[in-house]
Order: sequence, then structure tokens, then C-alpha cells
Amino acid sequence: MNKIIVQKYGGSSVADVEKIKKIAAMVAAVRKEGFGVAVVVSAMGKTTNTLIELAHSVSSDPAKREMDMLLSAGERITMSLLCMALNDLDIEAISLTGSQSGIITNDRHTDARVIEVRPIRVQDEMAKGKVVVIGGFQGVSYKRDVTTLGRGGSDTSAVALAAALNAERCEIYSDVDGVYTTDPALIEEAKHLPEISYQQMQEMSTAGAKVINAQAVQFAKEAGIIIYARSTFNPGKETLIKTISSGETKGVTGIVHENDVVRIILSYNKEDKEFYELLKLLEAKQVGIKELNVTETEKENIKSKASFVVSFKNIYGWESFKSNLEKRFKDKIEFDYDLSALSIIGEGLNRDNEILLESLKLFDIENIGIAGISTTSYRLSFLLPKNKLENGIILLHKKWIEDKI
Amino acid sequence: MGTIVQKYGGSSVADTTKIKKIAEKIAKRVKEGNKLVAVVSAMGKTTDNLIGIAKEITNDIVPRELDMLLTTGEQVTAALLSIALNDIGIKSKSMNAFQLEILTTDDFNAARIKNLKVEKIEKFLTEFDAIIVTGFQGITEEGEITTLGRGGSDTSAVALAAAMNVNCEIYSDVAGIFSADPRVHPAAKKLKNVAYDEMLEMSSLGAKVLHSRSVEIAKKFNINIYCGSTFSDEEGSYVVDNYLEEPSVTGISSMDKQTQVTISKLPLDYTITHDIFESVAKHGLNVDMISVISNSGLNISFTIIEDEKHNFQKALSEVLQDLPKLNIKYQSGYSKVSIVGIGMKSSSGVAAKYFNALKNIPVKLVTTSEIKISCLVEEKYKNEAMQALIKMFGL
Repeated sequence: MNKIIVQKYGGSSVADVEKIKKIAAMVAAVRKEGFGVAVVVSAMGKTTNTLIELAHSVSSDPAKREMDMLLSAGERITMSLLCMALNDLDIEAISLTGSQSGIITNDRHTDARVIEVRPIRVQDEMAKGKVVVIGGFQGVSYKRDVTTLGRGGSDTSAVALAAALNAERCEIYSDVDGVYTTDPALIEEAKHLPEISYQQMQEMSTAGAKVINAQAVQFAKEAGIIIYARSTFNPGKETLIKTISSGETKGVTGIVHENDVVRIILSYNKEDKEFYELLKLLEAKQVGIKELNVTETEKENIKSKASFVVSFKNIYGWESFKSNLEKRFKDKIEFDYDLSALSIIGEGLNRDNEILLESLKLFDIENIGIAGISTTSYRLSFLLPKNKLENGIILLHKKWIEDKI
Repeated sequence: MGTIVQKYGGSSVADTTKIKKIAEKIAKRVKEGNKLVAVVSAMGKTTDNLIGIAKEITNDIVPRELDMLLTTGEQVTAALLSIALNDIGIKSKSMNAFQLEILTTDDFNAARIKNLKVEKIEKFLTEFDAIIVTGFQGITEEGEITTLGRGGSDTSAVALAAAMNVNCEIYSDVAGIFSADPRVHPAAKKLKNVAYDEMLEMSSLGAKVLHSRSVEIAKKFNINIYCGSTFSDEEGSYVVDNYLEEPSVTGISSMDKQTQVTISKLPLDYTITHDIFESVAKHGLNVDMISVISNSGLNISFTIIEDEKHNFQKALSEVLQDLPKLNIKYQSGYSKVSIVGIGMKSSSGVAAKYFNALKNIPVKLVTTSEIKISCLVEEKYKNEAMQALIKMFGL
């Protein structure tokens, strides 16, 4: 059996016919070197957004199972077109849906988790010498329903397949040439990272970095697959995501932000169980809670306040969900959209409070009011007003990255 | 009360406003106590657009990949319609061919339904009020995705109706079946009833109302098809086994882009005729208006669809390679004009009237069956020929 390479191309890399043809040439070159090649593709350009808009024009709260049926069409268009382009270059290729590739998930629609990959068909076709092109982002539940893996789910498809195929490596292509110390589109001084550990990459993705999906990194870590994050049309630099023993990395690796967060504040009486009700509603809607704080506001321990920071980017029908919450909890619930999350990612961050104190001092000097703080040993997160975000990134990046070298 | 199978064509689901209206239409029937199975096509021009993109990539599209590409169109519509139904409180689920196990042959782009497991859909109907099915598609035993050819959603719908032994309602932007294409001939008459055999001749002759395979299935299982307009309450037409009033000629239809193939001076050996048509069949190609004349040698001519010319050349060269001096002529730019009527069987004088109507038009070729007469004319004479026949037979 030939050595296998799994490649993944994101939406901007397959945005039009010309790009698909260029990718076909890239894939053909790797195939001609003798590798077995599996290619995972996303939907073309803005296709997914267009489909979401269509769904919202027929329903303010679209049924999740049907959303998956709808959205999975996007990747299928790309994969069949890429196969046609490969065949046009005399490279034998076949496209397979998530279901045909044996990507089995749970039935948490629109945000499913990969449970198992049975890539029998993929292996069969590879054994016949074919390049296998797989629709990313999608799987099939044990009920035979089409599922999707949530934002960035094509990365997860690629890494999960790479693990199941025992691939040599997994190459993730996008419009950036790897991982930077902060968003290079915002901060010119952002530094390219030639390598980063699984753990830190996971933290960066969870905190909002868009280069690669956090679950994908988790899969790679478990299977020991090295991820190569590269730019599709601008080759040269790359970032390797791999095991790096903790002795080698110290201090701060990156500054990451996320804009699409909202803070929900619930004032409630403990006896009324409203806190649990809200928690259950959030869970049913599959809203991920990034941060949760509960405080007692009266000594008798009856009146309390809970604050949930959630990311609403991937929630279909968010507006209608929000108005249902307002109807249910009336003036007891508040939504604060004027916040962004800004995180420092690194190693041993909470060993002492130096980084926290220094950062807060900086914010204070610049009059940036901090609305919340949370820490893990790899991450230090601040909630700050949206209009102060860019300023905050510049300050932290200068202090912890630029001035350190 | 009972189960109703419906089909909505591409123009009926062209945008989300229309999809919402169809959801209302389905909801009404559900509230009357019915269970609905709705088969949908791709939205508006989606299929053509997808084919356009594929053609930008390659001139030689792999049939399997084309099916993988095109079937996304129906999946989008089915999901959106189901979303719209759930939004107005109707329990609905969209199902694709894989989930319903609609088994077909492995002839990509033109597969035929072999079997469908009706228990599947019946089980879903106990849990849901409306099942939305992606039309036009099937799967092979190996799990490959296939399509049933242009207009195949009709066939999906009728096959489902036949399997459940219920009648089928087919909705489009045309309010029924007319004696001639009402978009070209506004005075065409709407037919209350059309016999299966008439409809079969009309579908294969170019009337775009129904996919012929769907009529074959309806005939085989004796399922009535109702053809009506999606957004108006105007009464449509029924496709049935037989009906009482039988005018001699019921309808007229035409088909453009016809090419006449003439193979002349073949040796007088009839096995060659067999070989030719066998090779044509093996390539899955269709021929019509066949004429075989023998005098000094054998002359064979037949008509094909212009777009398939390239495939025919391939098929013919395989059988005729040992006869290099043959003269094969391809003449394009023809239209086929046909009149159809089950009443022709029992009336005389139809042919006389037919040729009388066409006496000023150069007719290249005429073929007949029990219930139809077709002629081949240059495309520029098509409208004139149709007008004359419409007038003569009062269509």
C-alpha cells in the first residue's frame, strides 16, 4: 500500500471553477509522486451562507435535521466538480459523501460529533488507484440521517479520516499560510509560528482562532497525526501542529479574539429553578457556554444572578431563540452584545499572576473596562467592550509577543 | 382522507416565497386528515446552472460525478420545504433516495427504478404528517447515487404512488395537459382526460408535461395521474386508462433538434441491421422514425437527437469498421411534428386529412403507429406545419 496523504481545502480555496482547476493540478502532482490521496473539500465560497439565508427566509427557527440535509449539499457540489477536474487531467478520481466515506456521528444535528470512521469504501477506491474526494463537514447518524459537524467541521472530517486511514500526514489548506501569534489580517506585527503544540492550538481555536477547528486538533492529538497548515495559493510558509514537550515552550504563544459572543444575565430566585430552566434551554438549542458565573445578590441566599457568556455564531435561528427567552423570562433576562472575548494563549499562564496583573495594568492605563476574566493554565481570557477590542489586541500583542524577543 | 402523493416541478419551487406557498398547500391537505408525500424538483434553473458549471470544468463529464452534482439540487428544495412545513407546525421530514432506498439500475444520468421499499416510507408516515422526497434520484445496490434523466421527478412520484397504490398529483406552472403546447399555441384546448397510450406518445414526442417513464409506470400499475397548476385552483387533467369521448386526434406535439442519419449502400445482409441497432442499444441511445429500404443495396435511415450525434458516431463506427467505404450522412436542423389520438384506431380518413393539411409543406419523412402520425420537417417549417394540423383537427 502506498503512503497516504489527506488534504483539506477550505471554502475560499474552492470558491470558483478556476480555483478548483488549480487545486486539481495540485492534487494531481501529489498523486503522481506515488502517494495515495484523499481530498476533503468544503462548500464553494459563500455557498453555506447562501443556503443558511434561504433557510431563514422560510423559517426564523429552521429545523436542525433539515438544516443538515440542506447544508450538506454544498460540499457535494464541490467534490463532484473537483473529481470532474481531476478526470479532465487524466487522474482517476471518485467523490464520496460523508455517509459513503463511513463518517459516523451522533445525532446532535448541526453540531454532531464524529463517533467512528469506517473508511472501507475510501480504502477500496484508493486500492484501485483512485484519488478519493470527500465532502467535508458532513456525516451520517446511526439513524441514517445526514448530519453536519458545525463550524470548521471539514477540518474534523480531514483529521478523522487521516487517523482512520493511518495517513502519513494531514494537510489543511486555507487562505492563510499557517498559524500566527494573532490575526494577521488585523495586526501587521503578527508573527508566523512554524510549529505549535496540539494543546495550545486547541486553546487558540476554542478561543476564536479560525485557522483550524478545535475538535480536529483533538483528533490529531489522539491519533498522533501531524497537521500541516498551509496556504493554498501562496506556498512557502507552513505551521506544523504536533506534539511539543512542554519544556520547550514557555510563556505566551498567541493573542486570540472572538467577536460573536453575547453575555446573558439572568436574575432569579433560587426557589423558582429558573437558572436550571435556562441551562436546559441553552443545552437544547446546542448553545455552547464559554463562561458561567453565579453570584448571590442577597444574604438570605434567595436572589441570585447568573451570567452566561455564549458564542452564537453557529446557532441557526438565534434571533427567534432569543425572543423566546425574552418572552419566558421577561425583565429577568438581559443580553449584552457589546462584548468581545480576548484571550492570551500560552503555557503555565496561571502559575503565578504576573501576566494577569500586568495585562490588567495595561488595560487600566488605556481606560479599557474589563467585564469578566477567566483562566486555565493555557488560557487567560478577558471580556471587553467591542470598540476597545482592537486596542486590546495591539496592547497585549506588543507586551507579550513583540517586546519579548 | 388517506395518503396523497404529490410532485412539484422546478418552476413551482423556484424561490422561497413559492416554497412557503406550497407548504401552506400541503398543510391544508394535512389538516383535512391526509398524510402527504411530496416529491420535489430542484429550484428553478438550478440543474441547468450546475450543468453549466460542470461544462466550465471539462468537456468530458464523468456521468457518475454529474449525478453526484445534480442530486444536490433536489436535496436543497426538499430540506427547505420541510423547514417551511415545520415552521408552520406540520411534522415533516425530508428524505433522499439513499434514506428511502429507491433502488435503480447503474445507468448514471438515465437510471431506471428497480425497486423501492414502501415499508420505509409507510413507517415514516406513522411518525410524520408529510414526507418530502428528493425527486429525480435513486441509488444502486452498491450505494452509488444515480439520476433518472430529465423530468425524472415525475417518475419518482408515480413510482412512489404505485408502490403505495394511491393516485398521484403532479403540479407545475401549466394547468393540465393541452391539445398543443399552450405557451406556443394560446388557443390550445385543455384536455379533461388523456389515455396512458396517448400520453406516452405525447411525452416521448416532446410534450414536456410528463416524463414518459412515469406514464409507463402509471399504466403498468393502473394509477391515475392528475396534472394541475401549483398556484391556481383551475381544474387540471387526468391521465387514465381509458375515457369515453374519443375524438380521433387529441393532441399535437413537436420535438426540435432532430438529426436524420442515413446509411446507404450497405450489403444486402439483414444481420447488419441487427448489429447496428444492437450497438445503438448497448450505448443507451434512442432512435426514432426508422426506415429500411432495400433495392440494389440496403439503405437505413433513422432520426436521433442532435446532441447525441457524437455518441452515435462512436456506436456506429464499432459495428461498421469493417465496411470503410460506407456512406453515413448526418442531416441536422429538423423538427418532428406528431399528432396523437387513441380515436385514430377506430376512425378512417385521418391520414387523408393529415396530408391535406401538409400539402404545401416539404415533408421529409412520415411514420405512423396505431395512435399517432409523425412527420419530419425542416425546423423553419415547424410552426407552419403545426398551425395547419391544429386547424385541420380543431386542436
